Amino acid sequence: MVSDSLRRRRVQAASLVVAVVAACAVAYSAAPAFATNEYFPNCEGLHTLCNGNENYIRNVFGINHSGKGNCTTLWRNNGGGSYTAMESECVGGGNTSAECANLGGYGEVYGHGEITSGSAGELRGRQDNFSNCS
Amino acid sequence: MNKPRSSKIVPGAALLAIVAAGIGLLVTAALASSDTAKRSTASKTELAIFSQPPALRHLARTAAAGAAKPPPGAILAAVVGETELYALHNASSAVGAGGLTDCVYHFTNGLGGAACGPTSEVEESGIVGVSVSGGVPGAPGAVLRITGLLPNGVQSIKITDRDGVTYAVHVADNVVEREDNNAATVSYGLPDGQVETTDVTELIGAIPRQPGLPGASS
Repeated sequence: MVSDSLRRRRVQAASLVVAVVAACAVAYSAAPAFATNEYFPNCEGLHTLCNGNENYIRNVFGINHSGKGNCTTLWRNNGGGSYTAMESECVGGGNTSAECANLGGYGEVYGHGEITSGSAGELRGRQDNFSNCS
Repeated sequence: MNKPRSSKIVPGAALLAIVAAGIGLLVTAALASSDTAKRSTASKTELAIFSQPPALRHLARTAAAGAAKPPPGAILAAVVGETELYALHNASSAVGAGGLTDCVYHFTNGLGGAACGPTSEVEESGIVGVSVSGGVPGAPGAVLRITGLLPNGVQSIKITDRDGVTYAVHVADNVVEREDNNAATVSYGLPDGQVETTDVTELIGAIPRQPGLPGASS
């Protein structure tokens, strides 16, 4: 025989498990499927060009710590080795350039960011898929 | 014979409390004077657009679905044709450069870009960004756009085209924008008489015609 109090406790425990599972499901569905926020790899030292990895992105940022100016470009991968330059931005000195795109169904572009400079410098680039360009 | 211990403790505690209160007052005064100094320094050079009363500011619009958005706090400074220009003050560096930056953003049909520089430098000498959208420079349909966030007192910029033709573009609320696929240089005079020049041809010469390999550098 199972006492009433034990049965009540089992029901409460089961309700708690259901509530926790439901909360997890809601939290999972509310979170973005893929969050991108990455600095360009292999960019230590002096370079005239650094690229981000291929990913779903919205924004690209770049700076030349050597103060020789930079351009950043958001390249869309069209497939089959074809790319389109969606937007490029150039600034002089040690200033920061950025592209901000929000195109297509999810506002993201599949491709990669790129930072270039006319002469070798300490370049640093970052790409993300945040909804604001910041 | 023995005096109560509390009579010794109470004056000691009171002395400690007085010393602590004194230190607290000194620290508070120091912080307040430092804050006042910072504010007075900022008010001398801060761009006029960032000093507008909040009621007159047009903060970032609620962007339509699918449109690129400026960061929160960005001020809508101008609308030129289909392009919206925003100015942002004291923003954190997007690439971890350290220090605060002032930025000018431009958005046209879901695409945009920005030029940012250290706040003190932008307030002193301004910043110019050169963007190319819709392809690499010179590609059919590609648009070359010049945007600037300029110090107080700069009334206009001078654009010189590749064919030598020169013309002026008016600056309003510290920002300026111009589409010109033939632009070669941009220059403007600062209130102290110095002239700032941006070599557009040299800058866009660094834009590659083909992308590098993802994740690679050279």
